[in-house]
Amino acid sequence: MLSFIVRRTFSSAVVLAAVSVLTFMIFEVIPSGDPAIRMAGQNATPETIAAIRRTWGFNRSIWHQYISMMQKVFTGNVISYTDQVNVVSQIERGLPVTLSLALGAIVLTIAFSLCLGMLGAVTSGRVTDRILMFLTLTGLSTPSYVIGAIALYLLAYRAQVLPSGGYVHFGTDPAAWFTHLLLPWLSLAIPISCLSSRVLRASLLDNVNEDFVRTARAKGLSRSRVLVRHVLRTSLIPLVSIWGLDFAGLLGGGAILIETVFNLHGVGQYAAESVAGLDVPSILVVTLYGAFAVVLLSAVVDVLYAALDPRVRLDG
Amino acid sequence: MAPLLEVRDLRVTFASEGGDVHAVGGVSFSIEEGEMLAVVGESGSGKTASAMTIVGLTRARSARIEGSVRFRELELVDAAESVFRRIRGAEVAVVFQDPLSALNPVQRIGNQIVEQIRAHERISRAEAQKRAVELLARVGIPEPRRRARSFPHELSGGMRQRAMIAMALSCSPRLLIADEPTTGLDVTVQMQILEEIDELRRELGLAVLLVTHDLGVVGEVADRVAVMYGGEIVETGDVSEIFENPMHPYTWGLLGSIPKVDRPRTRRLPAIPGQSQSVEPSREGCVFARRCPHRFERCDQAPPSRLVQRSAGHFESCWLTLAEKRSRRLVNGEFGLVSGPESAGRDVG
Repeated sequence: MLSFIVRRTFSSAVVLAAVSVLTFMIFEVIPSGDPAIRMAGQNATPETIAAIRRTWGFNRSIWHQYISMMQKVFTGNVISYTDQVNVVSQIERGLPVTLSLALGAIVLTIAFSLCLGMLGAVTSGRVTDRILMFLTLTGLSTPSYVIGAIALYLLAYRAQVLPSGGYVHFGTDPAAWFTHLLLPWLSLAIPISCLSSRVLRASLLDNVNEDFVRTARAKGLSRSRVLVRHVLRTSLIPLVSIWGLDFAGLLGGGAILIETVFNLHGVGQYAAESVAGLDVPSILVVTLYGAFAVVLLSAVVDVLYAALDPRVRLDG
Repeated sequence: MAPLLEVRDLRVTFASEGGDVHAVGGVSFSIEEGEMLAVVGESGSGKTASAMTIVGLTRARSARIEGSVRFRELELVDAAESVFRRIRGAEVAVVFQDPLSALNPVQRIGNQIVEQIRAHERISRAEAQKRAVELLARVGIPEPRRRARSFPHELSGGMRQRAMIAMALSCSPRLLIADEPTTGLDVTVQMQILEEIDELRRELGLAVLLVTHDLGVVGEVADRVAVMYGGEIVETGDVSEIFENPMHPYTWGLLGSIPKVDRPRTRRLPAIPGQSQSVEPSREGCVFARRCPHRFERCDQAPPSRLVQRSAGHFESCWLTLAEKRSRRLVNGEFGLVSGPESAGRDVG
């Protein structure tokens, strides 16, 4: 376990360093990437632009700029080029929103996948299964923002049973927190769970014919126990990595479109604003934050894998 | 008194795209309390299908089962799943081939045994755990307490099969179905496992249905033998009768193909020519006719009478007369179908 942690920490650090270099470099190669011109505003004199370059260090070598930027990242003192506020505090502000969004969406995803996947496997080949296969194919090919927009129109605008957007802190009003997030959760969970329920169904059907399932039946166990303890237990192993990385994506601010549709000021919307403003410091920090979520969750997935399947070893 | 298990005219048919496949074509046998019956035959002879039907574990959903299977007077063909659930594990236990895939890879050995005990008896987890350890010790597993916490992949092949046997015995069943329990194990371990089963049978008065393709291992442990070919039993009798006075040409072939240490190594091991076949419903003659070197016209025209008694408890289905059998069954002084060097057999060793 210790050697796993050491190796994982090292390889994660390498990945994050590579991500930071690549993200920083992008703004050196894209056109109109020079932040000084944008910061100086319209009708700026060349002297103003030159002054901005000097103050912010844009005139120094690219490696110099990268290193001083990374120093700021590590001290948590990254200042945005566009509105001159601290990027890290902006992310911290968006974090509760994104965390609530990601947690709820993944809980719903797991619940939906289990129900639909098991129902499909149990009724495989019959009408229920065929209808489910059609519906899940439709669901997984519909982007979440489309589902979000339709849900907003039907439930918030026409029926007016749910709020049309915005975020209420859990501490302020748990019920309002729930109703405000319900539609975003559903919009995110539906496409993901449509895919993972199909994976689960296939995995269940693979395992049903395994020898150890026949042994379980030969032991005189009830049908439901055979299904849950033997078939489902082993079929869930591949799902752990799917759910883990989906969660990492949501946590890392991947729900950009849903945060925009439902006007949630989370990390995703902040990322969208940063990209729109070509704001190097905030883009860099948001990207690093997202990459960190992925790297961390994939390590968690590996640990869970080893816990679920004793044949998998973390060391070696 | 009725036998513990009585199978009458059992037929198992699988519906497939190319038409019905008759896996078992009318099989009858019985097992008394404490008796070991070995069902011997090549793969595809219907031996496993027959055995699995007894406990309602035929794999395909499309299987059609006809005939009668009576266990302690209880009819099991078309029995409800709830009836099977009560019997499986508690009264009829199964030891499967290839314990590595037959044991759950992600569950500890001890817990797999505990699960079965608790499915049939109202006892605490701790008590069941204690019994699991005792069972593991009983089947000859060293350090049973530690092994109960192992996962199947952490044990050797022989150890895994012992654990499987311990699990099968956990609820003191009356009948043990052992489906090729030694296939895939080392030769030295094979005999140990069979001896273990035989010993437990004597100690516990357990009846055993041993399904195997290896007639050689049967002689040491079984009381009676049923030789299956093409979904039918072609010969059955006491183990000594089958080995000393075999009647059916297929049995001769099986006996002739058992490797013997006192036979010169340079000789090829005799084999039965041709491939085993499943039952063809349109077939008119004897099931074994196609591969039988002693076949004559009659064999292709009509099937021989089913299981005619040849001596006390010894039955077979064949058109050859007793005199013909006596003159033909020896090849080079040993039982066999065709003499060794000419047949397309595989080398010994």
